[in-house]
Amino acid sequence: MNLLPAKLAGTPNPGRVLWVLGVVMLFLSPTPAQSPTAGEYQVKAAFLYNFAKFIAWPPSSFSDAKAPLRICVLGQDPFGQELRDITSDKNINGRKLQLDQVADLQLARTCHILFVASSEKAQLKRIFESLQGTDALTVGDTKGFIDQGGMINFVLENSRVQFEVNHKAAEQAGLKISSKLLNVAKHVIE
Amino acid sequence: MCPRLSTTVLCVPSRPLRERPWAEFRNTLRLLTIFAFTATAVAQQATKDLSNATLEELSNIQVYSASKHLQSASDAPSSVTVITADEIQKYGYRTLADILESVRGFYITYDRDYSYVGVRGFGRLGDWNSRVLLLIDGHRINNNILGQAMVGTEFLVDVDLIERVEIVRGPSSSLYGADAFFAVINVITRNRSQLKGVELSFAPASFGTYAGRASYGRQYRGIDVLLSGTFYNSQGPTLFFPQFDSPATNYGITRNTDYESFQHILTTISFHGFTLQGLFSARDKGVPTGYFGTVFNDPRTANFDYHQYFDLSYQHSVGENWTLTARTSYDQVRLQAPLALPTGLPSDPTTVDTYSFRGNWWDGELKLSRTLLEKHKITLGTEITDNLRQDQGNYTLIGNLFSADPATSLIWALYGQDEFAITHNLTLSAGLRYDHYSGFGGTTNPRLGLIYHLFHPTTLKLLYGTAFRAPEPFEVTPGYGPAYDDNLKLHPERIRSVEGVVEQGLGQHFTLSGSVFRNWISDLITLETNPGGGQLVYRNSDKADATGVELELDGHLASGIKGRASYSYIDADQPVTHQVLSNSPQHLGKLNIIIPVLAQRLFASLDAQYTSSAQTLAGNTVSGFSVFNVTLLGHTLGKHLDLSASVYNILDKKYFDPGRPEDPEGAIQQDERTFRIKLTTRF
Repeated sequence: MNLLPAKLAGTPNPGRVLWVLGVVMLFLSPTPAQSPTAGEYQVKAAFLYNFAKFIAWPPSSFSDAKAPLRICVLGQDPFGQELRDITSDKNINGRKLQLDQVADLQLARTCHILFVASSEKAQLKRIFESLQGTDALTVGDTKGFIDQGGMINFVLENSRVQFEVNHKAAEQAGLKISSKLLNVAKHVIE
Repeated sequence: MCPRLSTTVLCVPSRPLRERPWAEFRNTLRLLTIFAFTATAVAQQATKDLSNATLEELSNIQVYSASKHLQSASDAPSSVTVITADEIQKYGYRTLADILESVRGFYITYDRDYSYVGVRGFGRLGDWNSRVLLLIDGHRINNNILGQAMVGTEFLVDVDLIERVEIVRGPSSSLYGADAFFAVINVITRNRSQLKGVELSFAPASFGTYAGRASYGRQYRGIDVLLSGTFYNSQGPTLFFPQFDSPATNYGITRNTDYESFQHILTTISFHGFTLQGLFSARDKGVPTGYFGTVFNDPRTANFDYHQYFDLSYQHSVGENWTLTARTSYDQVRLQAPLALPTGLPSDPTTVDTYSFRGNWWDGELKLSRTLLEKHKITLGTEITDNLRQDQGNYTLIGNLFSADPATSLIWALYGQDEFAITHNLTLSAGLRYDHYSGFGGTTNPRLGLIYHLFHPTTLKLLYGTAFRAPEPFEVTPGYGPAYDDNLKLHPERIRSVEGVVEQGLGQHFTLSGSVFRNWISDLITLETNPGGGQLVYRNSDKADATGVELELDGHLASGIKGRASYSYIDADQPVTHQVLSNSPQHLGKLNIIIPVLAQRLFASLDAQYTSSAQTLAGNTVSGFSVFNVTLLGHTLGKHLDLSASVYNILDKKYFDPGRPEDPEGAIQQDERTFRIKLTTRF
């Protein structure tokens, strides 16, 4: 079967080979996985996983070397399956990831990453107050989240997920944020 | 048999196809169908996995919001292509023209002076890119004398400062007014969040070319600042033009006449919703073709272009629903074209005449958007352009004469647009704009788009729109001397366009887009001989129609391989005589792939274009050609140092673009194999 337009087939051989090779490369690549567009919370879930990689918690934050890294969601969970998919069977520095939906602020105190859903918008202040003295990284996607004391806030810009960092709040909690993460941040409060 | 793809255009041609172009088209369809099936098969094995993506990759992924409707591209009432900074680096694009050349349905014609954009079979030789609207961060770039959008090396911004280029196909005068005829090209420059600290770049290339850039970005007390300067200098190649192959004209060989140099400065300052941008660009380019009857191999024939502007914009959200955008800007353009002409005098055989254009304009725009009852998104706006100066002049050395055609004009416009969510998956977008020109009066242009999200990965769009190109001063009152006659009755060129678009997600990794369109173009402004006096005069006398199909597959794989492949078939002709248009290739093929060689460290890319044969002005044919460009990009020292090496036209294909009316050559040879090396450091 003639696969190429006649005029294309008439071009010199190396050109033809390159066309075919290129197209085949593009479409027959054996290891698929990621799309140019994705669900908003799929991307945010991937960011949460990445935050765990680029942030150092004080050693006292884990009971032992094998203790899992806890990622918690407070409020109405917007992630659904997405966060579970991305954190399952993953290890960060030898620690397993444990995903918890927390309803109680007391339980939230032992989380390493705490995603505060936008359903909790009205009581952000109370949440941050009750987290004083913990080393939980607070992440949200609510307007004014970092101004009220949150550490990382997602914002949508041109249909892309960006984030802003309250470096000061994170440092006060004893967290060390890698400069790689800060460099990608859209806005950093020092 | 197309069980899975039955909603896409892929399965349409089931009837026997007679004509030869259709046979070729069918073969390509077959090819694309096979790829689409393969893609689907591959995609079905996919697992959701974004966890391997880097932070930068994550922040570049376009997302659809929680409502599961794709925003931007798929929601736009148009067919849109976005090229990102990452692709610009990895494909080794040197100019905006390089970027556009890789976009489906677009082709570039270069006359060794400027680059001209052809869109969907229409690339009139002798025009000045006035049928595409070029914007930099929303600021109109087309100048007010020739309507010229500069896209080649003459483009005003270093491509390495581009964050992304949004290419919106189809007429958009309903929102933008003049020149949004075939497409709108919006270039969005990088801001502080993408450029922190200092970035230095140096790039030597073929033909004694050196380019350099220094950029600086920082945030200081809520004020974002970006400062960047670029220089470029090129000796240019030695060229051979067979038309001049005689002893009197150096056997057709010309040296040091294809030279080029340019400088750009860009400053952007943002604070609390305000953005102030200042741009300066100057370019000198030698013209080696002997155009306009100039003396061959004389380096004095050249083009000097200057463009500078200030643009202040303000965006403010009032409450949850209102957004106010205000913009004011001032532009200044100078074009000078010295021509070394033969005098016929033995004592003084050459003289230099200089064409000179000066344009100044002020622009103000006010736009108010509001969301109403959660179903309507209404935008209302008004724009005013005061063309303070649209002067054409000609300086003749012999006799020391300067003749000038000064002109001014005023344009005002009102526009409105409503995006109405009829149901949760059906959106109607309707827009209308009225433009009033002090020269010819008013013109009204609508645009209608129906966007239907059939089920999650499928979007259907039905689009209708009209647009206009206003007659430019060089057409109404040509300042080229007594051989040209004025035509104050010129009115705008018009286009009507209907387009159907299908965007089909194939699993996680592929998107297939198809488009069928028809364009009706009338009142084309054409240079003719005045039957009365024998002078040349511009008239609204020509027409053109174009029908076409485009298919594109975009892929993005976990292995890091990503790319796109597209094919366009366009049938464009003059509707009465059915004469084929000049510079109108019927087939365009594009292929772009990025392959990571060492994860996150080394990338290889292929950028390929196939352009089928096209007619020259004299009715001859330039043959079709494939051009392959290859780039290797390496990040070292933890992204502090980038090294890239590109080979353009790696197969050393000898190919030609059709020449323009002022060129003595019917076809102009393009560059053979060239290279570029680029070093970029950041700290």
